[in-house]
Amino acid sequence: MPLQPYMKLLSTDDHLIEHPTLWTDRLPARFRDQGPRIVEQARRSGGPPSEVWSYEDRIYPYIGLNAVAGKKPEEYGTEPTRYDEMIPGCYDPQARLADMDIDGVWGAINFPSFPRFAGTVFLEGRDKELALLCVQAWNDYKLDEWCAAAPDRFIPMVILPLWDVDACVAEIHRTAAKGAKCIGFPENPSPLGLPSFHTDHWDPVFAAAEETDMPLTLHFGTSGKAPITAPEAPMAVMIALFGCNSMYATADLLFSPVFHRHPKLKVGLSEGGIGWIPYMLERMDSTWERHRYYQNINQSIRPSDLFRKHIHGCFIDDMFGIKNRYDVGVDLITWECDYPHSDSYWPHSRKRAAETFHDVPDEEVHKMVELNVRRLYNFPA
Amino acid sequence: MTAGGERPVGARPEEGRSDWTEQDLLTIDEALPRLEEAITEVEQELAGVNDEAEKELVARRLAAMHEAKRRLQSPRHD
Repeated sequence: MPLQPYMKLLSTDDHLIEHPTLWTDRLPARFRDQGPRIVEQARRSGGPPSEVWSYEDRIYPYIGLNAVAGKKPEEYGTEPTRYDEMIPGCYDPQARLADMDIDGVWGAINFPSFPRFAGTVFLEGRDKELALLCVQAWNDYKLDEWCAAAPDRFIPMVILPLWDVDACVAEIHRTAAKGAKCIGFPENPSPLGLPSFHTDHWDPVFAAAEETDMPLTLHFGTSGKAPITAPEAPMAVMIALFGCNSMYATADLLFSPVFHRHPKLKVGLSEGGIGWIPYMLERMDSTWERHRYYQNINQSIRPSDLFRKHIHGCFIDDMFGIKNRYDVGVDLITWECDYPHSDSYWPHSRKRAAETFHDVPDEEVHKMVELNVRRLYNFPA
Repeated sequence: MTAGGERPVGARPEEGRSDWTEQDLLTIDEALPRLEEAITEVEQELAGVNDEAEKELVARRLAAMHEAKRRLQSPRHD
């Protein structure tokens, strides 16, 4: 049994749903009506009204989506839901811990939901003073309430006020002092209207991440750009292709100046799978060999060497990647369970992981499910 | 997700604008049957365990699962 009882599963991609008063509890009184708050809205299908977020004068029509409950696959759709329809582990850290115990999962990084996985919703805020307070409120909630419920089990991830580099740097240092371990960052800032990885715009942010030893966690989709091939294409195309966003992020970073200017910066890719990594590294090395001379890219370090120094991947279902783990790099693989999304295997995550790792030597399993995460995120046992 | 926000509730999210809002949650209605199925499996597993230490671990997980089921079946919370 390669997945031994003493191995603690650490997921690098779980999520939390913000409780309804996260912001109203923390914002100054003058901002409470404009900050994120829950309002009810009639549901198209009838029944109890949906609960949706209101932020400034915009409605964000979900707190979470219900794609499956009680429906046949042919009836799948997405509909906003209500807190009383969710399992409490979505928003209650104690209930979450109980669900993790049942699932055989010890610890996790939990990405935001309403703010989006890298906090990019606050780029839309008209009042940037309010937006900054909202970012700080989420981080304070994450550190002071959510992670404080089990500091040895929840890996503290924070978000940044991405519209202001100086404020990002200040927030990195503020949250690092409170125990933050990693930073949610867009997989590609450019589609969000922000400067790309190929500029020097983010240098102070990445320098602060190096100084505080906090890796960037890049969840796929955080660029706001989904892999949609045609307006008529079914959602299945997008779902099947989403791992490509992690490939884009990898190529973008490896051919950018980022890791050359920031030799201590680490990146964890979340939810992108791992099976593609050997091919992409081969392709990038080949590109570098043939085409580097006439381009403004680094001339001395192979992309694959840079990858192995800076980037980790993660998987939930990727048998091809596990079979080819030596080409991926056993030390660069992490595991995820994606609770509380319905594609998680809860309450069977540990059992599923045991099946996945059936033919893998114990010491390699231990690295992938626990030790690599502890090393990358500076999260000792 | 759209910034303007006046789309009818229940419409498909604007995938091109959101960061893949794959937020299709495990709702109570979906989680309960998953949990009940798992409880049945673990009860069968427990019956076949002879090692006392392992039996205690499995029994502890089973008790936690029953507690979770009780919590999910209690009057809807907020």
